[in-house]
Amino acid sequence: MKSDWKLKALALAIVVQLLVLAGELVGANYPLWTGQKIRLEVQPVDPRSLFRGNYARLNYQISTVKRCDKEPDRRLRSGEVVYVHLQPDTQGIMRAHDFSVEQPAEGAFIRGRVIRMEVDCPEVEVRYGIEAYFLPREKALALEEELRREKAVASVMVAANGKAALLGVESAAAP
Amino acid sequence: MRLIRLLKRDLAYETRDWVEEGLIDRTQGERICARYGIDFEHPDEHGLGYGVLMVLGFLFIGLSLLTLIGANWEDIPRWARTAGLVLLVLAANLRGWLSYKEGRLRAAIGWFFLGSLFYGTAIMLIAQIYHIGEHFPDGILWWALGVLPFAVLLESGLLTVLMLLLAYTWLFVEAGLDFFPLWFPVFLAAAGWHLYRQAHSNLIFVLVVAGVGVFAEYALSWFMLEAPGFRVGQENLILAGGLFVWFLGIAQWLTSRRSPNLVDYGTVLQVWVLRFFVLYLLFFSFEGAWNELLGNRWHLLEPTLVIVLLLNAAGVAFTFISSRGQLSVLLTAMLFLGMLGSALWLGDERYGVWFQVAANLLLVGLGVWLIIRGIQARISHYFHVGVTVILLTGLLRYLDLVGDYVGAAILFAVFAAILLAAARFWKSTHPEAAA
Repeated sequence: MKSDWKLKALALAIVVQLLVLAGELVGANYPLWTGQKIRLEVQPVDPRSLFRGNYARLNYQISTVKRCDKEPDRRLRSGEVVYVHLQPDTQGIMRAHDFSVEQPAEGAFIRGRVIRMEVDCPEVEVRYGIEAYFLPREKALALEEELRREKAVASVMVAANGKAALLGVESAAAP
Repeated sequence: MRLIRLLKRDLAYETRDWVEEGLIDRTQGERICARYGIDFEHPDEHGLGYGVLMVLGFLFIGLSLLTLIGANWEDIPRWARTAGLVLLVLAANLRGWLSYKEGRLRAAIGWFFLGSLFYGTAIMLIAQIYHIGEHFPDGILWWALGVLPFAVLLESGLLTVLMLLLAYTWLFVEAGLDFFPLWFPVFLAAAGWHLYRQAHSNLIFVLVVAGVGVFAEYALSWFMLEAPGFRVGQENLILAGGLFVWFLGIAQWLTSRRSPNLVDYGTVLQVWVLRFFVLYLLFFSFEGAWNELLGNRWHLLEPTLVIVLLLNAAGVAFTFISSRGQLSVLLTAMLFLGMLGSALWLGDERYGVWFQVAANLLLVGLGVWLIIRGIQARISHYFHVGVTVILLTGLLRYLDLVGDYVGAAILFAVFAAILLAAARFWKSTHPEAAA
């Protein structure tokens, strides 16, 4: 029989692992449970990662936000949280028109993290956590082929705090 | 330093054969084994074969699950996939917990190892199920953090190695994406704790020492340049030299300890520091490397110099505390600081070729010293490294000339003179060699 405290500590370590998985699940489902559906223009490319499997990497129209008419307060660091302000176009597809470090009080927005920033004519490259669309390799290639012919649109759920979850990718012509 | 320390399990088996053949008596055999800190009766106390096969078996179960990542098993409903993954993690870990409760430590470690593989796979597969792609190194970090408590609580080498490999993977992926791997020292500390608890593992020791060096270099790179990320600057080169002298001093100190484990670590460190030093000098045998130092393109020179001086002082202090290798470490530190000081003082790329010649002569001198020391002290590793150093230096200078052809020819002639002079010295001190 082993020492009591170590048994308890091991049990706690198991619980911690389960809590991490639970946290990941809740984080992934939060926008799906509470969010509003928006549509975003997207271009897929097909990579594979050792740790992640096959997926179509999605490059959104809103992945780069440029505001040459605006003086930047400071240079944003890589990894910093940023809120991208959205406005729908005539087809109901959301377009980026501004970005801010503070969460906007009103209007549609999505939360992401800065990858890179150009200061001269302020431009930020942002990741929203919805850039990977996992599919079996054959399906990923078929999707890529289909979307090469037609404009692609991603359906995304966005929670009240701006956190996004990807629902799916389809042709813009699809109903 | 005897590298046989690193093969002591084989030595124990040899000793038992000698006893059986009557070459030595049993007491002598036990004393030989005791000198190297291994049990004469049970040299294979860890049940190596059984353990290795079990671990490999578990590893393949984990690999089979990891392969599922590529399958994107989307035909199964999301909730069923998620529940299946969580149940797998729970089942393997509960089995491990029960084994531990029953006092079967090895079985428990095996199950927790499998549980850790399941846990990491679950993190990646859940991310895949929900198309999460915000910052994927976080998944590897959470995986490593989940293994850490098991590695520490069970004092298991296997789980510690798994944790360190994950931590290293995370470090390089995180650094590759220009983020700072702040958690890495926590993993090094956990592995250091494992070593402190007298659990002997040369692999973990090397991983910890290398981790200290890599993290120090990355931290310097991060603070040195305005833009984040791992971009090697001149400061990184001189910090590497400072770390080398520090590790050399620690190696001397460790080999002077009474604990066989610490002596083993000292021996391993000496071997790796020597290899590192040879690579370091080979790098500086090129003119371009010196031009970098002489070009006055420093970003954070003064703080780096202070750290390098402290590391050198600490390295030398370790040798004086241990009363071992004071002269060699002191000379190495003085040589390193002398060359660095001269480069800083001159600060002109026109002198690059002179420093290059000095580094090449130093390499040949090191090679000769290693050959002589290897023969005198009967350390075959020194002898082989010495020969390799001289041959590599010759090859590199043949491919990458010093100055022009005439310059290279003069340098080769100087190499020959040094080697022949060393041979004559050897002959004069060992007359039997002439026979």
